[in-house]
Amino acid sequence: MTKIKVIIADDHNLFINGLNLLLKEEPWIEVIDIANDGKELLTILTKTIPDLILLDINMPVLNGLDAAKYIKQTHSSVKLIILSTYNEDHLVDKAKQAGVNGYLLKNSSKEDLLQTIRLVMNNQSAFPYLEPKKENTFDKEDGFLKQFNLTKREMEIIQLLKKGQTNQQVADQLFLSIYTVETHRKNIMQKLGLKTPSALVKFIIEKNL
Amino acid sequence: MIYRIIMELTNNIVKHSHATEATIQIIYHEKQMTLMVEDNGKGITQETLPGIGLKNVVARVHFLNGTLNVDSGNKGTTLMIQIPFKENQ
Repeated sequence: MTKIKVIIADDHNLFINGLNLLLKEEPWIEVIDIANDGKELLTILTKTIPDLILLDINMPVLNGLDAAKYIKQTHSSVKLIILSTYNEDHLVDKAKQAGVNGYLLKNSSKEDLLQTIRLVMNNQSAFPYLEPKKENTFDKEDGFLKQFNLTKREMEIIQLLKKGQTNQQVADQLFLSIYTVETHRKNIMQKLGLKTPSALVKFIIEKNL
Repeated sequence: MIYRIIMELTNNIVKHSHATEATIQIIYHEKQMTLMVEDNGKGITQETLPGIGLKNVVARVHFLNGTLNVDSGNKGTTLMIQIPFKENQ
């Protein structure tokens, strides 16, 4: 039986070591290299091509999602499994968009990991179960809404501001007065702890709301 | 006092607006608090405009040195009440 060649990319050494030990027990898996960030991973890929990469999202220099997008373009045969701490719908969605084959939480069991690897190597995908979205849009709260306590309307306004619209354009589109939009904007800034309009724009772009 | 204002405004939404969604929030700013009451109802129309309840709200807001703004149309109503904190607090 040919072994599955695996590269682990994560910036936490203890995690890598643990994962390495765990996978060593499996005769059908061989960890051929490790990378501490996305860029290092891409450098390794210029020399060796693995069958599978176990990829962390939060890494310095180049994060896992961006690395995944790049790898899927350049090495489409390589399978990717994201190992992440975050069980958040929008991250799972982004991972899917990036073309990864699986998404596993770091608190999963060894069995879960091996099962996911088996599935992915059999050309299947493995993602966490997501609660089906309810019809009522009021319940559609993603991580950001919860984290900063933003309302649906405030998110709508953020989306329009992101497109570069002025307060007046936002007001026209949402059938509100400009004063209302300005008040919403002040409230959003207060909730996000931002002081200036430019800080708000920066925040929206950085967090990709 | 603020509780009474919220009660009245909530009551209005339930009784008159025919809204399916409403949001009520209080946001603390540095020098003032903002009470936002939003709904997606039919808006404040001519026949509902001079309600006693809303007049009471206006009176209470004025008593607190606050300002009240109403933004109402057939897509819904947003009421914004700004109440300044007392200087020595």
